[in-house]
Amino acid sequence: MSDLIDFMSRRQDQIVQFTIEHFWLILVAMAFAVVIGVVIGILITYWEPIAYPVINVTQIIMTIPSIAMIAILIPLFGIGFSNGVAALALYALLPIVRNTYTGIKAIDRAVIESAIGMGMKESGILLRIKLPLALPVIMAGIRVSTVMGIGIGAIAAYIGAGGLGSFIFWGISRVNFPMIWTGAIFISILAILADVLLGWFEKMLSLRS
Amino acid sequence: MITLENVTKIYNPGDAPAVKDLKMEIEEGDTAVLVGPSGCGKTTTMKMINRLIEPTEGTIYVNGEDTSKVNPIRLRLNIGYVIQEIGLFPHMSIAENIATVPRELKWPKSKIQERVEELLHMVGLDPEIFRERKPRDLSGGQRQRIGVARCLAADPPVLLMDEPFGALDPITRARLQNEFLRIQEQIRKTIVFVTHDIDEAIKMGTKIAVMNEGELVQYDTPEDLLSTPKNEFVVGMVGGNYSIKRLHLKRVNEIIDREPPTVSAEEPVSKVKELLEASKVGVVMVVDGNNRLEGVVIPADLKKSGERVGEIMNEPKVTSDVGATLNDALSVMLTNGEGYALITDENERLEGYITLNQIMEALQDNA
Repeated sequence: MSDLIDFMSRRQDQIVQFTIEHFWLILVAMAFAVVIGVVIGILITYWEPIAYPVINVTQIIMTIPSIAMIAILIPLFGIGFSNGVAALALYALLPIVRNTYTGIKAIDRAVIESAIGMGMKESGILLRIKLPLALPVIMAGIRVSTVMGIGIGAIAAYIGAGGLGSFIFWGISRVNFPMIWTGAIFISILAILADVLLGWFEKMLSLRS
Repeated sequence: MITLENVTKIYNPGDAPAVKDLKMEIEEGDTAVLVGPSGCGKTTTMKMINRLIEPTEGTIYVNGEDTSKVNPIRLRLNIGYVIQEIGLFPHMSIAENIATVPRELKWPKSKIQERVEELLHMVGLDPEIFRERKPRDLSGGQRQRIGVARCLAADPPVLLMDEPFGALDPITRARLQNEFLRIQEQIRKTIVFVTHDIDEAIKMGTKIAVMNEGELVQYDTPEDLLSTPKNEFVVGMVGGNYSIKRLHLKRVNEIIDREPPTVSAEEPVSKVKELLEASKVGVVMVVDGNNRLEGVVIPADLKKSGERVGEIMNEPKVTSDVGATLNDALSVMLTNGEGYALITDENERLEGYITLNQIMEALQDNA
């Protein structure tokens, strides 16, 4: 325990640096995942026959072990930050796609029918009715993805994407347990903070609608 | 005016048509009620008018225009639409809900705001209280009023209403029906109204279209439908009690006695005694200076101790409004076990009263 505190106090600057790297990795990956995931989620509400096949594909992506995923992406993205972003974004898709789809599908049929019946354009219905009403559900998907991604993000250090995972990999190779613990603890803290913050945001959204 | 020309709808090839070779003309200002059992094609027929459903065959004209040649968005912006579930947008305020179509039409903000106020007044809700509320804060009846206000927002010449009062309790439903009839008297829209309730059809319609298995069985005024039902199906639909049904056709204000015996609560009990003796129904109404109904006195109250009328009067229970049908008034009388009903306007002011005898006389006149 004293070793751990000792390590942390000596490596303060590095902890801050890795935490920022980790945060940045997640932020960029989630930005891609949210845009791609929400767009796919919306598109499959308009084309039912492919809805479940698409969701199943994102589910299969999620079952690929993270080490393997990173390796698979090397030919496309090389090693480093972009590979990490791509891997995390792919993992994050399932909850976002699925929640966007079910969030829109769960809207009261009467609401949509009256919007169409009154002469609203589909673009208006999507932007002003469907997305605002599905937002709390979409947000829940984003939260799950983010928290999960922060954990998986540790692996990205393996291909030099940086972040708190670096402590863990270095710690393993040097058999330095305080180092491993430091990485694990700060990843958990980041995940818990993200969960609480996004959870609060999600609650605000569902209270509003 | 709406014209349906040989309109047929077949959902899946090989299925029996949901609507079969329908010919119908709805005059301007008419309320045409489509009535029939579920699956008779009434809702399908209505939804073909604003192209929520496309007809398989035939043509529909709205104010002379072939709807299949009009952009559906433009068509729908000119046709008000209310459904039973109302479908208010839960995340928007009442004002935003009502403003849906004006906003689509890109009205200026100030004009939209003005219109929202006007409509809220029209449906009897105070804009100050309701404008910023969300649909979930409203009762069923209030939501239904917002639904009506919303469909009237851009003043469309045609309204489509699919069981708009269907999900309400009988008392609220009767009140909203009466209010809507009062509004329609002013706005004179061409309305297509769908219901499965023949009583509602008789009450709301200037024309009734009885449908069965996709076909139009009879299209007539309520009077003609009741007096000359075309076949067994219509007879079954209308039910046996023609005379009772006729009560839906007459309104309270047609037979009301506008000179009710009234006193003020301040007057001595002796005054009420004279009036009671002279009264036909054995009831005297107590009103305030603005003719607002405060109470009633019946002969039994004279035994109570008290010098002023206010001390012995009862709460007025047997009340109905001027727009109500005789059926509404009769049901109030029967519920309370009285032979009279007091009629008030929307501000609770006493307009007069009607008696059971008057209702029976009205029925005989009709026969």
